[in-house]
Amino acid sequence: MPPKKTGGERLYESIEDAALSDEFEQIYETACIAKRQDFVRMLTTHKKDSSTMAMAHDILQERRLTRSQEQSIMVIASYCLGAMIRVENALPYTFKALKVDRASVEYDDVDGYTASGDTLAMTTSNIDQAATLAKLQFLVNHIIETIAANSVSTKRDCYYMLKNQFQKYPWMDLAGQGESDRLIDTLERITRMQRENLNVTADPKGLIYGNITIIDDEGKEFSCGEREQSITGLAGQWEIKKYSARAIIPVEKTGVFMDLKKLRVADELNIGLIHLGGQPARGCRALIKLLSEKGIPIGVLTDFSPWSGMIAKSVMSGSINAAHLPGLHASRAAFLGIESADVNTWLKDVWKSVQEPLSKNDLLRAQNNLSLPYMQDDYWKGENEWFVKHGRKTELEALGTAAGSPMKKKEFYKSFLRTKLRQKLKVRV
Amino acid sequence: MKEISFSEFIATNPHLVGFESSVKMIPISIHEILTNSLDACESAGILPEVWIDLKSLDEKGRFKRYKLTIKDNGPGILPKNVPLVFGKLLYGSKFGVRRQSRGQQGIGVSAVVLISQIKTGEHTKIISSTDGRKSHIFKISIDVDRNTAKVHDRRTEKANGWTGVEISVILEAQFSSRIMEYLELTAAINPHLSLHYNGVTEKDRLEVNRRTEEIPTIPIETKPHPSGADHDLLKRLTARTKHSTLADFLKGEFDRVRSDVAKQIIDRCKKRFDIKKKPADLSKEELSTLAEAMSDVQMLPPSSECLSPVGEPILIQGVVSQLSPSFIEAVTRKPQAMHGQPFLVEVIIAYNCTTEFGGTGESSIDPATGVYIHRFVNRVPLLFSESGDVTMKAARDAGLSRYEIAPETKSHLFIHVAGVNIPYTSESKEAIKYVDEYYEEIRLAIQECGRKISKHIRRIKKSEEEAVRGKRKAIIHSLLLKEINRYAGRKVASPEYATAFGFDHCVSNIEEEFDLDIFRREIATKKRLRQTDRRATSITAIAVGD
Repeated sequence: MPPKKTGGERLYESIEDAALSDEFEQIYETACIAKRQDFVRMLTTHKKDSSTMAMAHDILQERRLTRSQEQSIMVIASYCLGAMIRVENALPYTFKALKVDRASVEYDDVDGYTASGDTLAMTTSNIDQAATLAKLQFLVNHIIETIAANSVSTKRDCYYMLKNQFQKYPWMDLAGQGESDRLIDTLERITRMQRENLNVTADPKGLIYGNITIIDDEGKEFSCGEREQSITGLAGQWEIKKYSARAIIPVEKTGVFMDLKKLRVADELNIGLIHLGGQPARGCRALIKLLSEKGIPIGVLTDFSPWSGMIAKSVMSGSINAAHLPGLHASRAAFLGIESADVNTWLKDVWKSVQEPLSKNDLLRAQNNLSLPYMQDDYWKGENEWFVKHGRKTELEALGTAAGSPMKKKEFYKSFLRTKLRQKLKVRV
Repeated sequence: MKEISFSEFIATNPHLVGFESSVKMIPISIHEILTNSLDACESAGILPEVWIDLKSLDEKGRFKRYKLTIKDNGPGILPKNVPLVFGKLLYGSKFGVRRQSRGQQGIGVSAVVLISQIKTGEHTKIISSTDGRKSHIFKISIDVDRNTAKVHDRRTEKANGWTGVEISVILEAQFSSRIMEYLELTAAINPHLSLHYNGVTEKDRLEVNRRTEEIPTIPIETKPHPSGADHDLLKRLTARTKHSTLADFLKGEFDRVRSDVAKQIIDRCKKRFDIKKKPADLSKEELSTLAEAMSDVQMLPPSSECLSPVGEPILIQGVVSQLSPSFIEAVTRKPQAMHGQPFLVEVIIAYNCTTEFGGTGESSIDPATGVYIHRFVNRVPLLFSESGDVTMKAARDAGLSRYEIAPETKSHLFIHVAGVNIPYTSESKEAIKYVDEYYEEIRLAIQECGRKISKHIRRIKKSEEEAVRGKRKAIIHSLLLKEINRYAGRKVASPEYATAFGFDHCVSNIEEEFDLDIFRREIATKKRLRQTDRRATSITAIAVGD
């Protein structure tokens, strides 16, 4: 009887089988469900000293990683292994990148946007695509080495590294940072994982405040209760340790965020605040998702305009260009921002003075919104139709005006939020 | 009022025969004498060999005096004709004869004698031998008033088997690099000529041996071609014809007119005038109608017996040895007629030349096209007055750049016009007048040759592109493999990979150029590909086909 195969051996065999038939999507499936210990064992057998593979091995063996990080690293490590097997047999290999455009995504109220599975093949038997794959392989090596060095890379970093590597060869120079950004994007669409899982991060944007304690990506614990904390690009790797906030309000505008904090509205209602600062960064969206998964109700507070509708919806339902990336939207979140119904209630006295005409751009947005998959429900259809019909908008700052004077602001905010939270999220504060 | 002799006229107007500048003095003199030698040799069926000797005598201010001696191996000139040939302007054998020759009017060589005499006062020495036994030595000057020769000294010597003519003339001139250019071009277009030039300095020497033993076919005089007939020509022909019917007149006096063509021409005139009239009796209007009809009727192009094209292979031979171009193409067009006088155009393009003609510096590059343009008429190079030449205009309008014959390619364009009664701009025969027929024909010839050249260029570009494609493939795959090796920590691919992807021929170059070392050196002994996997094998086949 032959000796029983170990998990690592079985893993390698299934990767090899898939590789020999050039089925990298099968490799992807295998890597996603692989056990970390098996994967480490497999790499132990195949790694050579000081290779990038050995670094991947060490990361998987020693590091504290989220499940998504673990998966991302196993996916790219398996792809590299697959490529090695193809190359060793003098065969071309084909990666398939998910397509994410209007035509190849699907929308669902719960799941938000998801990629429908259409792919774009990139093969080394095509010389132009082989050039892209060579750069991609360099990028992968660079990323794994960056993680091994406990560092992060930005898109700009990656650009300089790629440029330094390829500029000296004819036909291989990069066409500006645009090309390296596209490579990173392609890598995301091949691995179907957020680049943040591979420590390719963006500038920090966004703040969090409230009774929440977090363990960050380096394992350090911090509280957001004493003061607001910055949300970094790697917030998706954080862990919510404990919280007492009854709800979290992501706020579009700085002024209102500061008001709610300074006037102690947040403290007295025991709600958390997140500062979005316009279109939210991925770190922000990932953190909101984590908070939502913990069961904390989320209510997004934005302006009353076609663009703000999109901001709120990207937090609640995700976006088309991130359809392939899980973990970037909180489907249970509700919209607490100013809406058409508020014109005759909360803003009744001041509406004439706080309204602004829609710009050409705003109007176009409202018209486009009417056909966006995630704005097809009655509520959002109604709101966008209102914009098209009335050609008006207003901003969160209108609430301060509606309060009458700074002295009355605190009570006004409190009652506004209480009412909205009760109406939209059935939360009593 | 008085009648002036032609000699006197030329003596006061030397620019009319090309002697207006001291720089042109020597090249034009060589040209006049050399063309006579070549014409004489060819019509006597002798392979020409010419010795040219140029010696500096003394300095006189800005100018120097030179002694130019040119000797040929031609048939020689009968002693009684020597004073006429060299001492009388407008004495010649070629005027009005409808066949190609270098000389035309009989001015050239006597003009040299005249100019020498005017500038230096020296007599010209002529030695001629027709039988190889005796050579006759003359010292001649021209009596300008009477347009006749004055013989100052005359004696005979033993010829020792030599026949031919030797001329020594003293010239006051400036030395010019165009002497060498003229000789090189003459040798290039006359591959049957052996030329020995001994110039003023050690370096100023040229030895060209003939590259063919074939004497150019001697052109035969032909009748005028109907397509170029005009009123004037018809008037002269009808006046002297012996034919009494129109049909006989057309058939008898014109080239390429057979009965059917004559009938067509007459049919066209039927309604316009009485075709039964004798040709000699036709009126001015009737002659014009006839001329019109003649140029309308389709017929064969002029017969080429009166022309002597060099021919594509010999043209190429003559140029290749001198310029070593990357490639060369020649075109000899069919004869055409201009006023019934046939002519034809030959063009050579030598692309990307690695050597140059002596004497042709950057100055012979045509600024408009960036190409060296060399003009020839009846196997004689034209050196001056290029701006007024139809050849130049046609060359510039031909759009050489369309055929990728660009300035940086160091290309030479040779245009040879062979014809009867070439319409020169002046008696100095330095340029051809702007004549539509010539312009069109030259332009078409250049374009035809350009198309042949651009075929070569395209072929070369294609093979260059293929080499570039191979190199690019090698670089891209090498860099991909380099990164995969970095991931694996070992060399993953065997040299088979390069073979499968079709860049094995570039690997060693690329590895050396970019300091890469990417392939396993050992031949894979263990076949890693499993038997069951048929699909992978078929993918290899696709990759190889890529």
